Amino acid sequence: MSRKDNPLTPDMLERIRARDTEALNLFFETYFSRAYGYVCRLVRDPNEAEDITQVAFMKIHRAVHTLDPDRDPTSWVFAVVSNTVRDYWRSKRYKQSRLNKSLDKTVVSDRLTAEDDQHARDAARILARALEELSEKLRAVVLLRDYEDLSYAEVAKVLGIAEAAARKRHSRALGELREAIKRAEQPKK
Amino acid sequence: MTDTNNPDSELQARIREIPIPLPDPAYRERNRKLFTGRIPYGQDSIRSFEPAPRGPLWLGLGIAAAAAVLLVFMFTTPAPVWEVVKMETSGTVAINGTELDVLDLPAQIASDTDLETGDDGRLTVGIDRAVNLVLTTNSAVSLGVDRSLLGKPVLTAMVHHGTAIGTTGPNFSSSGLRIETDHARVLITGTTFSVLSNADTTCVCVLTGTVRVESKQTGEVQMVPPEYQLFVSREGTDIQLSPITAIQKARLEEVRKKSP
Repeated sequence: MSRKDNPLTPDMLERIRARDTEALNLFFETYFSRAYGYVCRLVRDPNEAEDITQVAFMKIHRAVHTLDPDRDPTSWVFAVVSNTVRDYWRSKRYKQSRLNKSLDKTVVSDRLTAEDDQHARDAARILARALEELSEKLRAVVLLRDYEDLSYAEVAKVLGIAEAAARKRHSRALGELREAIKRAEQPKK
Repeated sequence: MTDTNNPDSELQARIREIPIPLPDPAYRERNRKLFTGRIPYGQDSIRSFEPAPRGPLWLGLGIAAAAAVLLVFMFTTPAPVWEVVKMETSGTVAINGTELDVLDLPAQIASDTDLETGDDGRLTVGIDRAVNLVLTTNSAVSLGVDRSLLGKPVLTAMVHHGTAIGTTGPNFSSSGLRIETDHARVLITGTTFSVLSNADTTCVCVLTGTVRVESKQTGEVQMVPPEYQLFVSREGTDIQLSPITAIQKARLEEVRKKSP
């Protein structure tokens, strides 16, 4: 869903602030799957992504009455989600680092939908793999900028960094993706 | 957002074509009900918008009265009862030290009951649609029911020796089951697992879900993910995580097929 297709009008956001059930449902439909996909791509573990997304939405639910009806809530939603991911990393990383490296199963690909064209499937898989191999900081910027269509200013706000840093990370991420694709495609030439 | 003058625009367009991981439909539906207020968010229950109170004194008395009623209700809620689900042997099982023939086993097991299986004994006990525990041969387990601080009944199972294989069902509540051995406390967050114990070591094997294990000696906590096993020694200093064996996996899969 692109920015211009966002159904959350100011009137709808007022209803969401008032915790109108139908409005909350629309809010949920607008953001939940997107948030889950973002988290899943960041932490690369669907089980952890489920917990993180649920906690993030619990926080969002608590604070939904603070929404500004005159502003698009997308960057706020992803800021809450990103902070929840950060909390997860701070609390889990120590224990995660003790597990065997074989736990690092790339399960994101299990949820990818099938495509009919073999060539497209290979190219998409190469790019998906390259995206997974980016560092979390760079991957987050790509997901927010290129999937969620946030501006650099909004990406910076979500991630708690300067706008210049957001631009730099995005540029570096795209560079690393191009290099990774080039390396992967070389044997076929 | 694509800028035709940007050399990265083609790459960004390809990135956007990568399918996004989708949430499991059941998980998504549950969260939709949580978010829209149809079911509460656990202990931090968040309900639909409530009207403002008429006055502070009235509100305080109202909250106190509601809390008192709730506490009385929680502490008087009848606790669930362990039941005998299946006995796969023609031998005997000892209950509180008394050997009983399979035909003489009671349907329900009272709280604070010691169960012990012999050389050819295999007993399955459970709570309806919540959890089943399979006690394999030469196992000893004490079953009971405790109360949490808020009065909620908590099923307990102390594995003295042998093997207890567990699998959970749709009515299972992770806060409602506590399993222990002499060396470890096991908190069930997943579905199918086994706990093996002897005088020196406890081993927790997980097939599906995740299990939290705490060493009683050192307090160290380790999460055991699916298809992994964790050994905890009596001293608590030797904690090892490794993949489960094929035999363990097969045993757990067999039990999982008969989940409540």
